Formats: sequence, structure tokens, C-alpha cells
Amino acid sequence: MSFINLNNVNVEYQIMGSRDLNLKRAVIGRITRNLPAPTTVEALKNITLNLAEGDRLGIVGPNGSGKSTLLAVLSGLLPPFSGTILRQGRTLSLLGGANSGLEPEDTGRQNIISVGIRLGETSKVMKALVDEITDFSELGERISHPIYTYSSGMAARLRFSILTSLRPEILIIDEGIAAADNEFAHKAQERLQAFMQSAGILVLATHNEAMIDSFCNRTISMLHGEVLADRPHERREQA
Amino acid sequence: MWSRALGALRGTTTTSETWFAPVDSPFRDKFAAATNDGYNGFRSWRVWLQIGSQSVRRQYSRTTLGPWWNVIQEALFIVAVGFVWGPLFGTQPQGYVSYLAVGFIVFNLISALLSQAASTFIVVGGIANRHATPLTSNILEKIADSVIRFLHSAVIIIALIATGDFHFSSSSWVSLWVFCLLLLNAYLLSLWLGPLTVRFRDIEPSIHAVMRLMFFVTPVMWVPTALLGTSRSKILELNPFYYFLDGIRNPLLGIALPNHEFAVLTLITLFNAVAGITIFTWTRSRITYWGLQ
Repeated sequence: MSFINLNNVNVEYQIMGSRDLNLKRAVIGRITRNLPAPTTVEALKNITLNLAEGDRLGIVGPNGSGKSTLLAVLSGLLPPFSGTILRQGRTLSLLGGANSGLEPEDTGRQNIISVGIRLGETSKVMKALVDEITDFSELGERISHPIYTYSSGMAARLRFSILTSLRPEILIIDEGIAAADNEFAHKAQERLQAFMQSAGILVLATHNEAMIDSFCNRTISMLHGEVLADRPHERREQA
Repeated sequence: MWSRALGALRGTTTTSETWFAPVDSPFRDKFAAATNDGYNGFRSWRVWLQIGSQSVRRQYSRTTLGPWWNVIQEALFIVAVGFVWGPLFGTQPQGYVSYLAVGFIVFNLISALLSQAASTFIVVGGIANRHATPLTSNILEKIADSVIRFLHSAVIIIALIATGDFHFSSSSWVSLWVFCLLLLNAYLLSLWLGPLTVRFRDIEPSIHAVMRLMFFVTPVMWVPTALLGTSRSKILELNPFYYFLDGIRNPLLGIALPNHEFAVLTLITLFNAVAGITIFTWTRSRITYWGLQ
């Protein structure tokens, strides 16, 4: 049983300039009780969200509305400022730019193994998966070239292929396959459909309405760190 | 508090591998979460051993000799100081080159552990570059990195055994013991220094500024007897590097370690343990926020 329950979650970023990071100021400020508060940005405000097996959540909203922060919290990468999070199920997330989390100097093959180990697999398991991942990502011989020689689409394909081959129970994607070409996007959709057959939870933040249409059965729209609407979404298969 | 911590150790109070207590939660919740982090950190030995060895390889990527460049650099230094520069000091004690070699290599390990401790939690490239691994696994990665480098350098020490300056006996095991104590201290130090350096960014450059000085005030190139008993012996007595360096080097060269040095090593460890556990518990949920850059 996988689930994620967020209850009254708040996230606040402090914008720290060098004045705020100064040790002397912090010590003197604390003693004299004259410590100016750093500028803060409320990235998430009182988010309560329950995701259960079978939920395919699409998150929509303009830039800076808190989508990526919410994904980081759901993935367990960012602690909340206040509120509680309960999460169960193997969670894998595809966040950030095309080659986030990949080592540029290492080859594709080395990255498959090291990313897998970071995600809790053994190198034996990952070595057995190398061929399948290479195949699916269509990297061919380029898999033995360093990542810095990859285009962003190729890096995105590699990351997507690694993550989905590890059979996550909860999959969190932030515009994950936007950089890939159409042909790969189609394949990726098929793999996501297969993932969705086996229950699990999918969370997708995107500006692409077609993706929301073909994957999601529920959407939330966000603005200024708040959830404005949470409603079921009718899936429409694409031609 | 203890039952929660024990629950966290057994993984019964948490539903996910890395689990953060919210920033505004009470100390006991944070303590349980921090204990859980520490436990999962040690358990993920595959991650930190692998990442540690990769970071050594990466630093020398596209070179043929890789980490052996570091060994060559150290060997050149030892040769230069031992045979060319050393005699300028006047008469040298017997076995000076071996003394210098062990001292220099161990000093480099200590200094690497310290500067790695200071940069443990700085994540380059934003949150997406982080993986949902325990924060303490970052510490173990850095220690693994330093130890792998040290093991390369240890080849120089092994080569010098042929000089006959080393005196191995049952008391030489003390070296290994102090070595393990050094690694434990590096871990505990990272628990408190790591969070402080991400919060106050001036600390890291100040550590680098002091490191150069430490090389000259720690008996690497000179022998402590030159200073003991003089008005400047405080330089040694107040220098924590000295106790670790002496504790690892002297038993190998057949010199017994005085009891008060054991006492000082224990005190340093206790201090680091208390400061490390308290500060890490306090700051753990904030570290990710501070560390992003």
C-alpha cells in the first residue's frame, strides 16, 4: 500500500544575503535581541493533500506558484517548515533540469550504476539492468560516452529510463520528459501507462495540457503556494 | 524521548527512508529523526563507499595516474624536505625521513578530513541534485574519499619500512586504535561543523586560512621535544592535531604514548560527540534549506 499524506504543510524559503550569513551579526544580534529577520518567501501555504494508490495527480499553475517545491516535499527531499508528512512506498522522482543528479564526467553506463546505488540498489542489480536501460533510452553506443557529450534530450531519456526501470511505487515527475523528442515521448507515455496499470501513485507537474489529459485522473491548480482547486480529471486517450 | 529514538532505530516510527521532522517541531522529534538518519546512513554503506571512491576517481578524471599524482606529490615533498631541506636545521634525529613521511601523510589525512567536514552539506546545483539519501551518508562519503586517498599514500610508508626505522610490537596496535578514533572524530565533527559552515559561510574560508598555519605549528617537519619545556610548549598542548598525529605516528616508530595524551583524545571525542549530536539534531531539517546554492 503506497500513500502520501500531507497535513498543513508549510514551506518558507529564507533569502539569505551575505549579511544574513554573517556569524558576527548573528551572535551580536542574538545577544542584543536586535536580529533583523531575513526576507522570506512562503513557497507552500497550509497544503493538505492525500494521495492514495491509483491517484494520477497533475499539478498545474503559473511559474513560481510552488509546483516544484511541492514535488520536492512529496519526494522527501525537502523537509517541511511545519506540518506533517506520511509517506509509504518506494518513491522515485525526476526533478530539475535534464541532467540533474547525473555526473557529467562519467559515462552513461557509470551513471546508471551510481544513480541506482544511490537509490538503494546493488551494483549487481544495476549491471543487469544496463542493457534494458540502454535499449529503452535508445542511446546505443553513446551509453559509453560521458554525460557532458549528451544533448539535454539524451540526458532526459537516460534519467527517465533509469528511474522507471527501477519499478517505483510512487513516481514524481517535473516536466521530466519535456526535452525528449516526440518519438521518445510516445514510448515514455506507453511506459507510464504500463506503470499506471500496476496501481501506484503518479504525480506530474507540467504546463503541457495534453500530458495532463492523457495521464491524470485528478488535478490541483496552484497559485502563490496555495492549492486553489482539487478536482477529478477525466482522462482522454490521445490519438 | 528514548523510546521514540529506539523506535526510529528499528524503523517503526517512520514510513520512509529519509524522514525529516518539520523545522518547527520539538527537540525530541528531531532527535528521533536524527537518530534514524544516522542509522540509515551507516546502513547505506554501498552508497557512501561507491560515491567516495568515485569522487577520488573524478577529481583526477582524464589523467593516467589518477590519485597516484597525489602520492607522487607527497613523495617529492618528503624527499625534498628529508634529504635537501632537512639538514639545514642542523643535526637530524635518526630515522627522520620515516618520521617526516608518516607525519606528513597523516597530517594530510587530518587536514582533508577537517576541510571535508566543513563542506559536507553544501549541495551544488539545487535540490534536484540531491537524492533522498540520509544526510549522514554525505559525511561518510567524504570520510571514505579521504581514507581512500590516505590508503594510496600509505604505500610510501610501506616502502619506508625497508629503512628499519619502524619498530613493530604489540603496542603498535595503538596506532590503529587512534586512527579509528580519528575517523570517529571526523564523523562527529562533521555533525556539528557541517551545519555551521552552511549557515555561516565565512567559517569555511577561515578554516582554510588556518590550515596553512596548522602545518607549521604541528610537529610534522620538527620534533616536539624541541618545544616541550620551553615557554612555547602551549602551541603543542592546545593543538588537537598534535594528539592525533602523535597517537598514530609514535607507536609505529616504537615510542610509547603518554597517558595524558589518551586522556586528551578522549576529551576531544567526548566534546565532538556532545556538540555533534546536539547541533545536528537541532539543525538537520534546516540543512537542506541552507545548503542550496
